[in-house]
Amino acid sequence: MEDNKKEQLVVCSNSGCVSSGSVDVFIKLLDRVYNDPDLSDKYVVKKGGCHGFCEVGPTLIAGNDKVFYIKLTEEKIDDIIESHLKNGIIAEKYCFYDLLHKKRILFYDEIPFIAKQNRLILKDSPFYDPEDIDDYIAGGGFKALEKVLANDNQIEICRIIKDSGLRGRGGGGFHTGDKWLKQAEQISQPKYVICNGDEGDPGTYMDRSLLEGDPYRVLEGLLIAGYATMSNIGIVYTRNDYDLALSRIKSAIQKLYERGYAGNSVMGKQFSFDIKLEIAPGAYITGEETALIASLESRRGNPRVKPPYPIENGLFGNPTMVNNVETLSNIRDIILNTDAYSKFGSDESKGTKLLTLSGAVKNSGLVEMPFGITFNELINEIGGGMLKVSKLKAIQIGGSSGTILPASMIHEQISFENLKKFNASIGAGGVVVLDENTCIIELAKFYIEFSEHESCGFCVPCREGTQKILNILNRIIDGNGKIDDIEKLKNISMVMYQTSLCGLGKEASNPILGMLHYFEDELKEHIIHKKCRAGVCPKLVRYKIEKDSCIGCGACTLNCPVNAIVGTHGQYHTIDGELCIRCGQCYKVCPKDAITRS
Amino acid sequence: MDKIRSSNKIDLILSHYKNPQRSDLSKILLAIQAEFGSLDQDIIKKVSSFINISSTEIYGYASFYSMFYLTKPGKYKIRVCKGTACHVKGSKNIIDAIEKYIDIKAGESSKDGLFYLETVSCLGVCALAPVMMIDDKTYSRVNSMMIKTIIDDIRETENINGR
Repeated sequence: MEDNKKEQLVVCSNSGCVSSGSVDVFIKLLDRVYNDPDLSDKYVVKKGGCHGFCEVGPTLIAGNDKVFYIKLTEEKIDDIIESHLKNGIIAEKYCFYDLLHKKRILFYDEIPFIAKQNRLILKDSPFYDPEDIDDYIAGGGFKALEKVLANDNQIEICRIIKDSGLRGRGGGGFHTGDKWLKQAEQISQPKYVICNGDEGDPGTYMDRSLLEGDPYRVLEGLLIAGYATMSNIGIVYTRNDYDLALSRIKSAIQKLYERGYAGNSVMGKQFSFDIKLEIAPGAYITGEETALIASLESRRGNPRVKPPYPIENGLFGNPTMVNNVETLSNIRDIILNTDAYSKFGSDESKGTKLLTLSGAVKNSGLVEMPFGITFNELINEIGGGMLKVSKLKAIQIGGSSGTILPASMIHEQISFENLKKFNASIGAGGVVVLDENTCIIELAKFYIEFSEHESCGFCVPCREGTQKILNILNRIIDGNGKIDDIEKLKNISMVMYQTSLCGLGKEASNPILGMLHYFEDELKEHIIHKKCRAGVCPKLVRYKIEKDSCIGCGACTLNCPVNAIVGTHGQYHTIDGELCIRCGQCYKVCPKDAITRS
Repeated sequence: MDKIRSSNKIDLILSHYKNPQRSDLSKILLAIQAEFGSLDQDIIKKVSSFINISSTEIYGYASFYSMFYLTKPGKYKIRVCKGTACHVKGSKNIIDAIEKYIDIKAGESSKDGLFYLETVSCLGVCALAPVMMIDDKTYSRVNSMMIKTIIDDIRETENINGR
């Protein structure tokens, strides 16, 4: 039988699943199927892109029914081959178990995490081999490029993008169409288009997933951007840490040249476009476009004052347009289905957004939803609700420049315009769900620590402001806070917001402002009563073993990293308050809940 | 002897750049680092005179980015993720555990030259937090107990290979 008529066995091959061992699973499956003529006549084994449900990886989507096997190991593969592939009985015990409805779910399309999403960009990615250009072409790849190349009026293409309402997905939310039109107007040559994949916000990974899982889609977007704006050099810029993404993009670019999709006369038309891969040398700030350009010129990644914008004066002084990876991934769908695309989303935010859901939810992973859905839909329907029995305390959206929103905002819509009302921003799309075991003060400190570390040190408000805020928060967390610290935090945050040079400095105080606005009670509790209600801040908690409940099992003694717990087996144990570092390990491991926190 | 040999290797790398531009700096430094593992003062001085950029500026450039190492890192690079998802799931405990077990601080290399520990902002595997990487291999849902096993394993392989 020909390969394309056989049923497919797709093993996810993205970073998440690879780290859970999908390579071994893939090799095992491939080996078993190819060495068995009965199986190899019926099935074809291949790698797939990202389905976003990284938590349950490695996964296998089997056959035309798309049976979804999760958390695979080599042994499970043997069972699945015996029962499913040979005898046609689905190995149910390896399928997803829905805790909410207490039932097994066998098919990929019925998994709540996936079925409740509204997928446009990620729709096909799980079923295509990201390393195989033919697979991409067979799925309708480069149709959009072909359509665009047939149109001699490039400005018209820019207008299509403008009319679609697409806004930059990297965090700024600038209208992409406007950028394209501006770039198309520039006459000096060469003109650059940069695909910005230098993602580094804590808790976001959509760029990595796209570059790894669907590299050709990103490159097709880049090619279209190049043609529409009459630019001739494209640069894919991504992080050094993203090994898999780098190797996939590299081989994808090479294939584009081999097949005539890049280089001189793309697809036989009068349009030449070169694509290069550049590695970001590793600094968060280089995600900002002027800093990005500085790093490409081998200079320190210090941002500069805008205007002039990079489109007027960019890389080596030439017109340069910077688009985010996710923005470029949208282009293909806009070109092919312009009308359908604009139906997705809210008034001022069109299309879908990739969100990375993580933290204290049952199902975490990569989610694609139209703008305008509420946090409630995201957390409770797609995310499957809170982990264990914990209660929602806060939602953090937008990474280090995002705000911490209280649980009461769960019914608010996620869109550029709605979040702006609360001084929040969607950022790159990282959503972290926080339960009551999270201390907001400590979390705000975590973000400011990040900004302090990543501040390039060029302008004073950002460099000094982040340090001062960090000092104050450290003081509060150590139990030495003063009541006028609140006023100081407010002042420094406002000065940073008003006077910093680039986005990092301006937005770095957002988590602090969110904390001050929504969680002032908790902050005051830390300062006045020296109490941390979540029990996170080490200096503000005390651990004690209750005499009546302790059975003397010794679990706490074994797990204590500083040997602060003493006691004979079978008898009441005690904690030495002097030695204790309040890490909370004993509290977590005690089988009788005999350890109390105060 | 070592000095002469290393000097030759640098010359060989530099000879690829006939007409060095400012923007070649990153590529040159990377190529040299791939050969020697880190960029020391002598290397920076040599590159400085070759490309005609002051050595202070090259130092400023290289120290800005995490990709360049100014002191030689240990053989195994341990990268522990400190992103939000990992943070709320206890990545600090992981870092503490490693620091205690190998007796180094983040950003340092162990005395035996085997390990180098650094923290990174986000490795992008948030669904499987907490995460760490040792060279190219990603470890997901790490806990303090795993740390001991992983490090012991590496030490053992090194011992066997070393003999």
